[in-house]
Amino acid sequence: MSTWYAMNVVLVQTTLTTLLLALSIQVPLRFGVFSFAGVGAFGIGGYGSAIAMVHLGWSTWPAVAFGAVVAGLVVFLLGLVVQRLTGLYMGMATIAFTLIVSVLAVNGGDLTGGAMGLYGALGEISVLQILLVVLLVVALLHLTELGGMGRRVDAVRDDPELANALGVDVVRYRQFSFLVSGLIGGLAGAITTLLRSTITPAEVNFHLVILALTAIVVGGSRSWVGALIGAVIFVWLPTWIGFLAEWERVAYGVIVAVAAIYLPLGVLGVAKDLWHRFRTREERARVAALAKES
Amino acid sequence: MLEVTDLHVNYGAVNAVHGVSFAAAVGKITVVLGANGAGKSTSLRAVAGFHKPRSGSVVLDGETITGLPAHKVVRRGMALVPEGRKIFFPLSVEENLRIGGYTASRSKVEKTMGEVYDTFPILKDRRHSAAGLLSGGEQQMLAFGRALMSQPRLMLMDEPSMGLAPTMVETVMASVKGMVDKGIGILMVEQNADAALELADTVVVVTRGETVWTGTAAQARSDKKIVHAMLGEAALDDA
Repeated sequence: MSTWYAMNVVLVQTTLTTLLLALSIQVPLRFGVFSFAGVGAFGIGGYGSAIAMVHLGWSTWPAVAFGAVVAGLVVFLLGLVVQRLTGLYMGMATIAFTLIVSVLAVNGGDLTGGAMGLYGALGEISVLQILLVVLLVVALLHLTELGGMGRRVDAVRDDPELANALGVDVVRYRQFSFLVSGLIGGLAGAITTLLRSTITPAEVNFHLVILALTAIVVGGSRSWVGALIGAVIFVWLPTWIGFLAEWERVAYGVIVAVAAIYLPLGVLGVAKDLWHRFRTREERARVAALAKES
Repeated sequence: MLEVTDLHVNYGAVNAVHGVSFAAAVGKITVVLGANGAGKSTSLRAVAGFHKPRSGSVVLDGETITGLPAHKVVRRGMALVPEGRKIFFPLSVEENLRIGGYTASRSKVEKTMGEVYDTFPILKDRRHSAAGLLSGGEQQMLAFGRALMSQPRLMLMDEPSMGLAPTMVETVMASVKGMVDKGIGILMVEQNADAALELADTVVVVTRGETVWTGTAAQARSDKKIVHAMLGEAALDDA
């Protein structure tokens, strides 16, 4: 166990930060908002925390908090600006936002280190600490999936007009989803950056949008469990299919395509279906047994 | 008491409603009739807070609520039952009702749910089944029950008979009468003039975005010419 852990500690760290990144995209989707601003928040959180450490001399966790809060505020303000957009237009506007973040980073002079990025922001972060942060985030998100809150979130996504008619302030819920997306994306960026001690504009890019989105599509888009499944699959997949060498990317593409076509609710959706089918079969067997007795 | 006066609403670039007036009161059923595209639904949705009227006024119990957004209108005691019912199929009957109780305090939700089950015993029998397994008529009653959960004084209904089998229409309309007897007011937009005239206290006819006739159901029936003219020959053939 301990040698396995020592060999794979980076993958464990990456799984946890990828989970946070995936959640930052999943939260707005659960509220019916097609926003990728979480990836821009990843960049802001990363740069924010690195700037706090390198330029201001802050210690690790205050720097992480700084990055996350700045990202949350910026994405919240972005939400106020783009809240009337829907579907594809919302997707395009928020991807543009992400690209703007990386452009600003390139042109930020000494503050952001330009195209070379910022170096020397090495924080002291243990895997246990990341795990605690992730547990806190997941616990709070779990509350939004339960009971009345969960039903309201479902209503806001599936039928915003009806939710409105029932008294739910849909606009306020969606603004809130931007704030949460920004905070979580910012956390992911800050932790990732301080683990690696460096961030460059090239890292805040479209490939992160794809990574986060595929993790949710393949894992499951309706629950944090789906994001966890997706994060585990896409962080560890390269080590499992490493033997494919140059065909690895093809295999990756095939897996994503198959999941998108055949598993619309992701691996989590399939697992729930199987469980439901199992329960129904049990129930049928019980009814049949009862019928035989009488 | 709801009073809508000289409502004008634009739907995109189209001036869909220009001069619709009607009133509704607790304990009464007001039916708005009109051909497809006459502006009935648009007017109703403007009253419910989904469209901002260009001009005109919506007054509820003496307070002007023109242009108030939908989620606030519910809190003033006016609930909308949307066209096509819009039930959440995967959720149980009881969960659907609970969503309707969002604006009420937690202690009231249980009490109101009891009252809804008294009004619609069929919902109580099926409270744990998935709402998607209910018949069309039962789903309509669930939509009524969900609206009742916010304890409205007035209920706005957008085509409650749409897509229902004729026998179901009778059952659903009887349940509307039941709710009125328990002391709420109803403002209903309908194309099924036959079924609606059976219940209506007041009938409002809307044509091309304007209120053109208002009277009692008895007047409407005895003066068939009026309703014929508005709805076409077929509408009242078997009335």
